Amino acid sequence: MDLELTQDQELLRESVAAIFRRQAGLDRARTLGTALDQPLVDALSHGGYLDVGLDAGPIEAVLVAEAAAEAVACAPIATRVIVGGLLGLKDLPPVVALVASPRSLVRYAADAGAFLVLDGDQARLVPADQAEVEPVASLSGYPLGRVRLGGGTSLGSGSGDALRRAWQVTLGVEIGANALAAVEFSARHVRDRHQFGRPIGSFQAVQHRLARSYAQAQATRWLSRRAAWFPNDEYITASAAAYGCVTADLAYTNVHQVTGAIGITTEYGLVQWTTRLLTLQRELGGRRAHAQRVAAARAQALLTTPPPLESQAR
Amino acid sequence: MNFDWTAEEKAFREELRACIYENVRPGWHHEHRDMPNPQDAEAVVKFCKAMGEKGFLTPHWPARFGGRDASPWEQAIISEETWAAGEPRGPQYMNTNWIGPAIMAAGTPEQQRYHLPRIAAGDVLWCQGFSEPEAGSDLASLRTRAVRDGDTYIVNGQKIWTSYAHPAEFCFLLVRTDPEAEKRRGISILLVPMNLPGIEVREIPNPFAEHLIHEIFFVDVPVPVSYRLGEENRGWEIVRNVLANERIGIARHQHSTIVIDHTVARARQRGIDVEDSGLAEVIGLAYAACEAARAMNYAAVNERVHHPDGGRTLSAVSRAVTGPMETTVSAACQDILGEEAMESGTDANRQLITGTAAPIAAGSLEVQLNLIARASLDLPSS
Repeated sequence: MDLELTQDQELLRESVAAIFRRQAGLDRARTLGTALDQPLVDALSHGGYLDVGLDAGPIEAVLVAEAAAEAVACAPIATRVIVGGLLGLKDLPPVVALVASPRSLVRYAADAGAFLVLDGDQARLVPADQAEVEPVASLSGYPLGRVRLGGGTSLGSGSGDALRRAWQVTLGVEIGANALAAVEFSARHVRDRHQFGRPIGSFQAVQHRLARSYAQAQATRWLSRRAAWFPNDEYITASAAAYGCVTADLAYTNVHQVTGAIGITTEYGLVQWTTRLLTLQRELGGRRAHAQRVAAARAQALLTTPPPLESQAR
Repeated sequence: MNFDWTAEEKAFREELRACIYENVRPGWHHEHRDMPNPQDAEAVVKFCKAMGEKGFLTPHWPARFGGRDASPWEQAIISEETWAAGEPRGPQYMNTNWIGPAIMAAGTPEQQRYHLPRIAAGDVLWCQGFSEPEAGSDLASLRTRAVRDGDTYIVNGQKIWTSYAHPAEFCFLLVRTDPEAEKRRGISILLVPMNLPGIEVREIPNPFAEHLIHEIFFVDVPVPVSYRLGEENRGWEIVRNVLANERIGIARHQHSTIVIDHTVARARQRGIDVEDSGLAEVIGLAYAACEAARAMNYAAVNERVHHPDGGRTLSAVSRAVTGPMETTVSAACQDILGEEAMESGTDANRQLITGTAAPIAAGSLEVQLNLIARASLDLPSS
């Protein structure tokens, strides 16, 4: 095992970060609101970044997705690079949306060129011209919509499970990156904000809230990277999503608590990440559904490989 | 970045696992590592001697001290496999992980010749004399005094919360040798035989487990100056360096996953519906917490591999995730089994103390959070 980035991965991370510095970030997210950042999508598409999951590998896809989330990119980059890459889907349009059920609120539904749809044990790819989209007003950091979809193309038996696992990975990656960015943004605030004659970040009560959130976000990040590496193991992929939901909840609560009233304003910017966390932790059935998948996957695995020293169970 | 174990690492794990299962005492359980009975201490030594003979005890040690310079990844594999088997090394993980390395770094040739072969052979039990009644998380406030009298230190004081003290042959003891110096600068380390006159070990009763924690009293204990490790009054630097490696790679996640497995299996036997959506959620979240701790543990090991000389931040993060993981698993076991989880001798019952103690022991959760606040988030000191 070697968890250092390769030289190529370092270069990828630096180059994509440069794009996001120029064409994303808080100011641009505030300006765009929940509109799609088409110039950013075009830049990433022309640079070949949206296909790194296919062309380079799952870690490369994760690196692009992490950078996009940290930079509050107004486009479903993670979906495209991670899910597209893990499913091996070529020639996807630049903007792809994921649909879990007919009742789902779908991120970037009105902007999607295609939809990847969970349909039992199969996944379907439905082009936008077979979709009716009804935008839904919400406080989410993403544009949401309800969709009515035509049949599209089946991706084959078992593709539904593969899509669900890839989606779980994506959720973990996005939650980890959004939570880390929110914590680090809040850390800047508590370093600068003085009350009682000193920075509020010098109070242990404040430090511990942020440190716990930071630790959980880091663990979510590393678990999700590992899940991307083992995309066929739902015990790991669902763990990434389930743990991510716990992290999203913790980080949301703690960063808003330590930033106080300024933290909930649009102007300040923290909500760009935290309202996304609210959405991500509810997608694909949310924490309960992911956790049940974890338990089921472990039970299935134990049918063939009992735990060590099983005879000593008490 | 590559999460696969190499072929060599896989082969190492298989050979190691075979050795463990061949030599672990039948019926060995996690709680036996506290060695509540003399037979448990004998089993620990017997097991570690077998591991030592096969080269599985100290492969990460330098070749000049009998190891083969194996990577921290092999150390992590050893931890995963031994924790999966209930950690039959008992306290000897301390010997191999940091007491031995501390003696390599700061010991005299005579100390190295005497102690290192015994540690590598697996036939010696150590305890660590760190915490005191007034020096817990603030370890540098320790007061146990060692006053020099010619070639001997006379030691007086008290250590507390000490694991494994009752059968230990040696204590890695922190003492104050200069009470006038700034508190971190007046500390020395003594390698103390536990059979010296004036040493008394008392078990501290608790409702969780036998011989879990102890007090050690030192009354006019004569310790030869030649037993001091490193320079006088410079012990804090040694201990800080070795403790940086103390807990990296400890595979609590491996054991906790198995505790959940066992508890779910027991629940099934009792007719409890573990597929019930609420219970399945609890079970799944506990497993997920183990996987998060595993992933963070790997990240910390990787950081140690690539940054061996310090500047590491992920160790504290790993520990800040692992302690709460144990608590989550404990709570899940209680939820799964209900009141039956209170029955002594069950995995779920044992997990109660694990979940309670893990965020306290060897640098509390709050200490780890302080480290994260400073090193990772650059927050000002209070």
